[in-house]
Amino acid sequence: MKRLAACVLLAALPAMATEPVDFSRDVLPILSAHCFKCHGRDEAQRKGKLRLDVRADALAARDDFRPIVPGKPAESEVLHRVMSKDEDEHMPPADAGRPLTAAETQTLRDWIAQGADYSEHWAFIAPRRAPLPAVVNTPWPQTPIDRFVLARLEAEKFQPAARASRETLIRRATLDLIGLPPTPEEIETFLADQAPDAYATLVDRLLASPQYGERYGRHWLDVARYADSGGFETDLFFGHAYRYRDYVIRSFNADKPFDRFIKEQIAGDELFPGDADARLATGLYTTGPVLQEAGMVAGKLEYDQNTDWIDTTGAAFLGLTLACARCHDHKYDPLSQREYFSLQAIFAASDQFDYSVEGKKLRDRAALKTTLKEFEAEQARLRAQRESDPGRREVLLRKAGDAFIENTPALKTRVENSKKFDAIRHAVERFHRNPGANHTNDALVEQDGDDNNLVVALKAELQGLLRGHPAGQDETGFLNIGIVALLNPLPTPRTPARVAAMASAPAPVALPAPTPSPTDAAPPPPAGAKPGASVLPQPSPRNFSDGGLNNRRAFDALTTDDEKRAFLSALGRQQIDRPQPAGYVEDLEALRLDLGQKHQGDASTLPIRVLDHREKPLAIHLLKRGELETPGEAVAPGLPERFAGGFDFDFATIPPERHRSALAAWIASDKNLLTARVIANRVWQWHFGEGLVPTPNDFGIRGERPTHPALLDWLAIEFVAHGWSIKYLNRLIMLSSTYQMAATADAATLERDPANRLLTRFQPHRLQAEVVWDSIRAASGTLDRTMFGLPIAPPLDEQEQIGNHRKWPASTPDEANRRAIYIVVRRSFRFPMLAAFDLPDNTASCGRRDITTVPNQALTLMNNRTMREQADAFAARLLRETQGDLAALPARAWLHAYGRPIANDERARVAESLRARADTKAAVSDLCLALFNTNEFIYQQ
Amino acid sequence: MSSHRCPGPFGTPLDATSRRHWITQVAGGMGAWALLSLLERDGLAASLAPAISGADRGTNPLAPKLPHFAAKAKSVIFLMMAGGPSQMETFDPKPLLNTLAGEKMPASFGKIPAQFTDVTQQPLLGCKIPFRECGEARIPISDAFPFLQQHADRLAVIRSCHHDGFNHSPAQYALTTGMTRLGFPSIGAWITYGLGSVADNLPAMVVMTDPDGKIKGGTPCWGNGFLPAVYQGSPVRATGAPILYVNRRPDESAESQRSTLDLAQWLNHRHSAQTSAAASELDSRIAAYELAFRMQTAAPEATDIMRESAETRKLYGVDDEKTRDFGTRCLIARRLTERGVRFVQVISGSGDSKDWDHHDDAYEGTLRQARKVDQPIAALLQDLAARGQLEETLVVWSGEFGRTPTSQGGKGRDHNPNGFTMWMAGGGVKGGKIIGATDELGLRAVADKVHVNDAHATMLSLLGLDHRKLTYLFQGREYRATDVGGDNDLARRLII
Repeated sequence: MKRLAACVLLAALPAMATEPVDFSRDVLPILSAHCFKCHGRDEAQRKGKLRLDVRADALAARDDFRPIVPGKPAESEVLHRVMSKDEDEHMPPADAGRPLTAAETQTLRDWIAQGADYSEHWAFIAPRRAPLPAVVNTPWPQTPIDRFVLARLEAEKFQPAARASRETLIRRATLDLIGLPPTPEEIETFLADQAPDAYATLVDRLLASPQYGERYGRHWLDVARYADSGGFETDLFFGHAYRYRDYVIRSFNADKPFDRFIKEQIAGDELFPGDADARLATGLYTTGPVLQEAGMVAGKLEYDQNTDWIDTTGAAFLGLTLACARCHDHKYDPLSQREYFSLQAIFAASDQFDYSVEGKKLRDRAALKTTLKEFEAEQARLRAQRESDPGRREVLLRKAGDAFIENTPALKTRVENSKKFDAIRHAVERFHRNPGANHTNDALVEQDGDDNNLVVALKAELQGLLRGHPAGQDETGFLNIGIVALLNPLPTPRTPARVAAMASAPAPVALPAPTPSPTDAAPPPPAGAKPGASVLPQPSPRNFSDGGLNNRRAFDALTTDDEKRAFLSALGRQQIDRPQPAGYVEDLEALRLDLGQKHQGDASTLPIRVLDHREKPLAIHLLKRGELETPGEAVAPGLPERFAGGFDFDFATIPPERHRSALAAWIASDKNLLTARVIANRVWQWHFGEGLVPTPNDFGIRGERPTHPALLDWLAIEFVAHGWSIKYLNRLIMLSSTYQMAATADAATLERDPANRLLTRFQPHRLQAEVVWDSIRAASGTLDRTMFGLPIAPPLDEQEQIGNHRKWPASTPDEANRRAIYIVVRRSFRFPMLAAFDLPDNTASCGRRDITTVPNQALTLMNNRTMREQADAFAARLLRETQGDLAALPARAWLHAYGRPIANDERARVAESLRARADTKAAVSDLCLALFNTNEFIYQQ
Repeated sequence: MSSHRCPGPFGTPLDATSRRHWITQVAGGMGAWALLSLLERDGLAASLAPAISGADRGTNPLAPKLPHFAAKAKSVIFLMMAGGPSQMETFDPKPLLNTLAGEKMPASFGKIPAQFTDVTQQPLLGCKIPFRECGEARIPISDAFPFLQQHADRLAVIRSCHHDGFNHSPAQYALTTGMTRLGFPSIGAWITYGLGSVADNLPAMVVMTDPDGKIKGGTPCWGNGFLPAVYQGSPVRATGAPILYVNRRPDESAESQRSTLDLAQWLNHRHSAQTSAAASELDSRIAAYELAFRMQTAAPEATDIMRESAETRKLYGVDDEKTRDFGTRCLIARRLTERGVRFVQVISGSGDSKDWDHHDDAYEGTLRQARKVDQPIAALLQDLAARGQLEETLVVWSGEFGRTPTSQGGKGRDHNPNGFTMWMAGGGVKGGKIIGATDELGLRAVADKVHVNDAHATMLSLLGLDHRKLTYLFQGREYRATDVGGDNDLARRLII
């Protein structure tokens, strides 16, 4: 309602001021909403052979009328038709949409009367640097931004709001740039700083904070539709995705020039082959949704992939809804279906490939599939042979088992020496009998008990070998801890006493980062070797539920073979002794990636999945109605003509493995009509909650127009002129008077500018889901600021997991309070606490999150069990910091939660609450919980 | 393939201008809601408010909205049979299948993509479950559903449903959102968006899964897609806390929580008074807290089946281990629609082979799974009818797809989205009908084909919503719940 009122207000302005009608601002939206569907560029949809999007056609005389006669509204058939009361004549037809409003009709009339000029859509002309507007209130502007804003306010007879208080400013700036509330110490320092540039110093400090990248990185991840899994039933876990997330965080922290940032993401592999970080950047294209299913139609995976790539590229960098042109010519924007597929063709030579951390190309997915197929064919052949000659069966199986062991010389000796030789052979045979089977199903667990561990470990081993990993590593290149453990001599059988001892095993010690080379980690025990001294770290009993990370860290920190052996021996015992082997199996299954990959906690050696080139580019065809079954002519790579301006690449002369470079050069150029404006608008939105263009992913004709077009152009030009620096833009905006206004407005202002489209004030907005999560922990003092690495999965109870089809591999409690950007993002299951606060759908690029107010947000903040934990922690912190002085405590609480001094009436009200409960700790905890549930806490203002 | 279709722009945005900052003036709205729902029940409201238009209806996204035209149904209970029940073993008898059992499918039937098998190479699998012609309308229903057979005259059986997602997740998205891809609003979300909520102190849309909460398609099966989050389904459970976080922690008394909330609200009011720029938005948050507090009482009451008579519970099979889970959910579904919940999605079947996905044995599997739902569904129809609620409650039964007439591994059947059965009852639907047909073997829908988009158009129509007018502007397009389909809207035929 508010927004509607604002738009009505804006739309009414030109008419009131009798300004000339602007085609792209005033008329095009009317024509595109009501006329172009049948009278636009799409030939297939065109009715009556009439198109109104081209002036010559609209003016051309028909048999007995002219659609538009410049200067003569009364003779223009178009106007006649939209005003006609005759049902047969009226446009648009009743079944195609609503009639034009009186205001719209008037605009059309004025436009025709003024000559029916067809000027270009604002976003499709290059930004122009307008002179800074003159203003009356000359002291107010501190930056050129303010001149644009104030000129508009003065023209509309508004006063800008007063400057916000310093407490408000530090809280606003801190939440804005690093996504955390300021600490009492930071507030104190800032308030004490009497220097005239104290605020600028604050902004610079925040821009230099490593947490800046976590805040701005999260903004970009929305745009990049980031997720850690592929969605659908398999919801494949992307062990590689976090590398892209971390790359984004690092890039923002380093203030990487945005044009370089674009180039790296689109074509880092082609343009900067020696730069490891630039290669990770193409993770933008390896983290999209993946439908992987049996019986898939040939070419569908690739088509889905290309579609996601083009949609994402268009929305993220260009602010264009390219997807609209996949099934037909774009209804509004100048993009044909053919041009759309030309863009897909640019990616025809590209696919996702896995690399080891050392940069070794692992077998790509296609090759792996072939190998598996061959493997399966061989199995089928053996099976057939077996069936035809039952006598040979045993021989063949034995041979298969021997072959496995023969082919893994590193293990051979150990296997032969192992007392478990028969068990291993048995497991190998069973694996060979049916390698495709799910060896983790219930029946097998019941039937085989502990032996199932062998199967799982061996399956991992075989799949690792299949992928070219050395023996003793699993398919992700990890130490196959199961196999190594199995190969250690197994001591006494499980006894109740041993089980009890395990349950009370001490928590693992946190150890420094692991060193690689796990292959030789477990030599066979020399005769008579004794386990290490008692100071050795013990394996964690929950060895896989934490992703194996602690065990892995602990193991890698050991130096001598004896220590390693003792550790592995203990681990092996645990695995075999586990009272519930099913738990182990389930955990492992939960961590399973496609083709049996699994993620085992340690991020450093997981393969990297990036873009690289196919040997032979895909043939891209124009698909009729966008459907794979109806291919039309082949389409060559190319840029859309209307937007190509200055980039007349001849793709035929560019080698396919440089095609993305060409695309990147075009997008990341100051000549590109859209790129700089699109990102400048995003940054503005990230500061103010609302962009100058309110549709950040759609700068096309259907998108909303900028409220301050000259300001947007000015920002875009300044941004490019200053090396595409995001931090420059941040600083520029934050040092403006516009940014520093208070969140106050009088009734008249609210009525005339309800949605703050004219920037009469700073508009308060609710914190984003992740900032809510982080702020609670920052105030409580529980926030773990560890950066980077594999995603975490804070524990969820059964009810929180409704809808989750995959096991939730809960992180250890010590990781549960890390920043929310590190919480695993799964496409088929949204983390409930964040989902309540409008986490975006991560299937497609999200330019702007919804902000909703619903009761389940209140329920979440009141009753989620972690909220009481946080409130208790906050209470303990306050009691500690005030030495239990309940008179001083509220003021301290206010500083942590709100970043301001407590007012007298608040102090009195809180004292009353604290008095009401005898138990001090509980009373303070209740106070803390109440604070978390207040609007002031979860709003930035 | 239609998974790649996209709708062209259509009509005007429902409320394109104010979809960012939804401002739920919950408390202010409550009185109005109650009034409007009363008026609606009396059929008086039609003269008071224009056809749906977000801007006209104020700023509460869940405020009740009037339909485009007179509605037959006010709410929906959607019985989703996850895994994909066999049409041949349930509602679509194929005598020829038994005649040709063991032979290869005649070449004239051609090929379909399936998950595991090549249908041209597998032998046809006969159906061992006998069918009976039931009711006055003589609707064939298999003996897997002895209870439901008594209600044949209430059912409109649509035998010609189809889409093109032949694996569970895409098919579950097709059934629930109309699209095989991720990212689209579920039909319940669309309906809630279109009609708002008349449920006091309860979510507008509810989903109830098997107790383990697993479903292959995951939360997107009841998600809001690109619609604002207020329209997503809320999971409700039969045991424990009925709604996520609706129960106070066990160590917390109502008084203590109220006093904490009182302090928070006191601070909120104070803050709101000082923050003029966003006062109304802040006030809606204050109201949302009061609503949440009331939900803590209302939700457990609404889901407490012990408030029903022993006879009623027995009717739903709550006393029988086999039917307890689904029966409880059906009974709760009735209690929820009774309290104004707009859309209740009740799911039978979870992810781990405890569903309708009978690759291994279509005969045993269908009998086993039907045993769990047959009595509860029949009870739901009977109970709704007895209370006079069936007329305004649309009950829809469907799996995400059907199965192949050919065998998989000797006794099972593979996935088949080319022809499957859905039925509707209540909500203005006159039962005792069969719509459409599959071919003689049940491989494909051939007559009066009903795409999932058509089924959704039908559901919307029965609720008084025109699927061509219910749109939402997203990424430059006016999306519909029915994509570019929905032309075969059955509503007019179902209500006569």
